[in-house]
Amino acid sequence: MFGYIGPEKGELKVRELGEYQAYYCGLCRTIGRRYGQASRLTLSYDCAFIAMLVDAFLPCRGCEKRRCAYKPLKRAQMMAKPSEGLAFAADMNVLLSWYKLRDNWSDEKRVFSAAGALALHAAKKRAARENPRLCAAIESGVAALSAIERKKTASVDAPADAFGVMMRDCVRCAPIDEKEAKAVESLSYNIGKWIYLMDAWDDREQDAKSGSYNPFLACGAEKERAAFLLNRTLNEAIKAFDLMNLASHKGVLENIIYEGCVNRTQTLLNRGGKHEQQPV
Amino acid sequence: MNNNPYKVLGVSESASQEEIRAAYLSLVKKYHPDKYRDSDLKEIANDKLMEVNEAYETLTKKGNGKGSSASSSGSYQSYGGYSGAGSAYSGPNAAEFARARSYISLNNLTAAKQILDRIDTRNAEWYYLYGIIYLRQGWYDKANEYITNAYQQEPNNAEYSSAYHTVRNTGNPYTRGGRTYTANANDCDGCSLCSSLICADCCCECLSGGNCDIIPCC
Repeated sequence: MFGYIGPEKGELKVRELGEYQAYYCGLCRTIGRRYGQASRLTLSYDCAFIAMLVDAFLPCRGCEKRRCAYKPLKRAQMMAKPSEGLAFAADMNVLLSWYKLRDNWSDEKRVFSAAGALALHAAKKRAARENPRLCAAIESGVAALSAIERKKTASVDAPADAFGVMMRDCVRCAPIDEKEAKAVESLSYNIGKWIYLMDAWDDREQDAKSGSYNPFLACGAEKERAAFLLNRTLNEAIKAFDLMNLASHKGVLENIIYEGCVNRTQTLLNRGGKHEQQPV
Repeated sequence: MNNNPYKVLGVSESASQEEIRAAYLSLVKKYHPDKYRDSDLKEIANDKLMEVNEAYETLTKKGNGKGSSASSSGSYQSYGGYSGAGSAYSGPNAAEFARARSYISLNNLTAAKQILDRIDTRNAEWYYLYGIIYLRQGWYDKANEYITNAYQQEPNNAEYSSAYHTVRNTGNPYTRGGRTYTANANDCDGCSLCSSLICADCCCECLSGGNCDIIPCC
């Protein structure tokens, strides 16, 4: 996906950093085992977060030492043991990547995207078979979003809402305790919106050049308005997070939400655009 | 709800009364009803708060009445938040606006929207109510625009002005410890009042050569 959700590594304890890395590696391995080695290239930080979140309501499953097929010369590393969260996040990762590549091809005719979608095709079919509800949620979410984008709607709320709804519907398919469902749904809706807004603000210069749709450009929103929206949306996500009863991974998830996401928002807002160099 | 009260407050069983109180206060801040006023997570937050209150009361009673805080503390309770009825509005279409308000308080946003869409008067009340609907829906850009519009039309209306300031404040970046959540709506809180007074005193002392000292200790 986009990779905006991640920890503030400097603030993590060494043990927590290990925990996070074990999940990241564990997700990569799970994708490889379920969908073939090529699919591992789609690995994203956002889905590592989803995997940890889904698993956070049960006691920690622990780690195991394994070698990485991608870095055979490296020592064996700690990887999270197989879990429901990792399996779910692997499905979600593959499906989201496939739909994103397909959209890039049909909207912007990027050849690399077409090749990628083709390479992922078998994996996508398998993921759809494994988790049909999740696939349906993503398909309808992507359709709703691209309808809004194609109309070039002059609203920031509408497309962000569509993306948030898609994230919420995805996470609804995850094996999460019913008591926690409401808070988790609210968290995923707002985090989805936040990701969309972050990406839109990040890409606005590029989109202005290429003429692609960008909600911030479409309504002529300036930095103050973007800052309000990003902060408000993230604050809502934090409110939902505050109400969750986490059984494991508490430190890492708190770091990701309270510090990682918050700092990333401020960094993005304080710098010009993706391609603008920071003065050294 | 039958959890270990120490676990609920997140303190060890050997924690002192001060530690328990500090943990309690930070949890009250975390689940405070003000924070969840316009959120559909209101009930969960309220349940959590009640659990925390109960745990704190159990622990402070146990401490053989040492802490006098027990009686004065467990009183953080949720209130209804948005009031459906208590509006002072008496302009055109008052009846329709009142109906829209009651739908909003029942959280029936579609019905409230339908009523508002039929009203042609685009006054401050209309923008305010539509803004509240957008806020509930999570469309913060629109909510901000409409509530600002209502506030600018009638800056003296207490309800619009409080909504406007609350919305503004919730768009501040989060800082750990929740300081920005409870940021003051106006700039005249106790702290700034005191510091202004001390400043004024210093100026006064300087200018009058020490003859005019309002606060003798500084």
